[in-house]
Amino acid sequence: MAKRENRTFNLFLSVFKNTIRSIQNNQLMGVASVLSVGAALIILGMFILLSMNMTHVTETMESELELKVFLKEEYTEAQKREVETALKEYEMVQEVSFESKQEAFKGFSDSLKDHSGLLKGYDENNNPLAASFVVKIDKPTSVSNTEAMETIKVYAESLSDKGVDYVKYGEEYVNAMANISSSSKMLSLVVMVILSLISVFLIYNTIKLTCVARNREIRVMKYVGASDSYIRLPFILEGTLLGLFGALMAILFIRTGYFYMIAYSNHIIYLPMNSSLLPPGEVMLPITVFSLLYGSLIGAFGSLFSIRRFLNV
Amino acid sequence: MIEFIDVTKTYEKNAKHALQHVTLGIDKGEFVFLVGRSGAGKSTFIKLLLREIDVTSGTVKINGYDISRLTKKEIPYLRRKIGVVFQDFRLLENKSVYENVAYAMEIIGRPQSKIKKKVPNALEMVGLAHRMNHYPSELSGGEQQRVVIARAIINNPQILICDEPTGNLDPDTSEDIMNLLTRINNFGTTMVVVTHNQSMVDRMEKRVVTLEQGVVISDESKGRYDHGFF
Repeated sequence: MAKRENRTFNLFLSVFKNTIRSIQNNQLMGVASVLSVGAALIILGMFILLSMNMTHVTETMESELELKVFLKEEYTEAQKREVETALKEYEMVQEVSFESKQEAFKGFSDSLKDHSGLLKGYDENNNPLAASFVVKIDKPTSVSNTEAMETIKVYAESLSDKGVDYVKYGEEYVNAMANISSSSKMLSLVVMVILSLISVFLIYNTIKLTCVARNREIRVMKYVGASDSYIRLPFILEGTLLGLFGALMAILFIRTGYFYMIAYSNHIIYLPMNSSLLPPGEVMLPITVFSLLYGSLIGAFGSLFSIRRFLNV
Repeated sequence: MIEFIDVTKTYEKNAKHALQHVTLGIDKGEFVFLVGRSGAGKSTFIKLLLREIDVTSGTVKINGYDISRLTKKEIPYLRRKIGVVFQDFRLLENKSVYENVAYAMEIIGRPQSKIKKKVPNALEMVGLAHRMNHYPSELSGGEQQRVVIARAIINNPQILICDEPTGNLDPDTSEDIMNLLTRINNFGTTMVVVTHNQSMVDRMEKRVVTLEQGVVISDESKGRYDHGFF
């Protein structure tokens, strides 16, 4: 038994020696492959960051949505009470609060802050805004926010004879975000497939060069009776290492980039409703795991394809 | 030791037979010259022996075992029983003489302690112990060939196949190499030597098998190269 372990160790030692030597002998191509895998992973990483954040922003937005039931310009106090009761009694409605024309105006002008000049010519008594009920919902988890909103909206609209003018919950907003979010996921997938092919091809070529350079050695190994896996191993190890180096490069780059992006995001990008970018801690773990796995797999597969042709004797 | 039983090999591309119904036996410890023109089927014979290619029909047996029954995984173990010295199968330039020979042991997982003991012995046997730390480029053609032979026998193969072992060497050096092969043969290694070196074959007076267009046209103990050609 001890003898057998010893043999495995000897084999591993010589395989490892060969791998390192091969990378040293083939530096230029090696650097090119590392860079290409790295670049592919950086681009991929950016797309992943983008879609993760998109999803995050969409979710925050959705959870912060409120439904507004606007009343007609001339509503009566009786109508107002009737609508309020009807809304309160409806399923999934948690809280109903009234916002008068004046309150609406105040809230709007406060939100404009420095741009209050836009409201020149209007004041609390002469304003174009309508009175409304703000409806907060309490929905079961099986129903999505948007679905719940939509149900209540349809119901509230049916109250038009009681003075309801129209109902809004920012559905255009949400739908647009959901669209962007799903198309960014789609795009990430397409980019991932294309970049994977390119990276596999580059690693394939690097390892092919290694194979050509070591053709004589491969023949020696074959004729002396080295097993196929022994011959294959250093090449696969080499490809995997190159892929891993590329992944490390990408991780460093993305980490730094995202850190700065968070730091400056307030100034350079506008995010709707109180949403913010995901904290680095939350995105870096999946990206790191993904990059390392992806890099090593790409490397291993590239070399596997490459060596298959050379071993075929 | 080696048995070819009604072996036919056809390469699919051109339907010409590379070997046709070859039946041939080589005993343990024999020394056999395999001669014939280019394209006569000598290379095919060797490739079949190493299971680089498969027979179209017939059986190749080594030690009584039909080697076509070997799985892909078992082929390396067959090759460990067979040493090869090929004309185009040279040394690795970036390794020293010692490393080149040691490499053949390393890649089948022999421990360093054994390698350190055996490699100098093998180099001693081929008369190159003093050149151990030199690189192939520093050696003459004959010396290089002797290192190749040391590498081929380091794992104690039962059979040694030599394809044109004296191909690029001058007559004196060729003589040396042949003497070396004879000595290895005297230790009991079965020897199959493919060559065009007519005078060598004639002088050695060993068994000569002549192939022509895939057919064995003569098989003589103490044969001569030109037998069957004229």
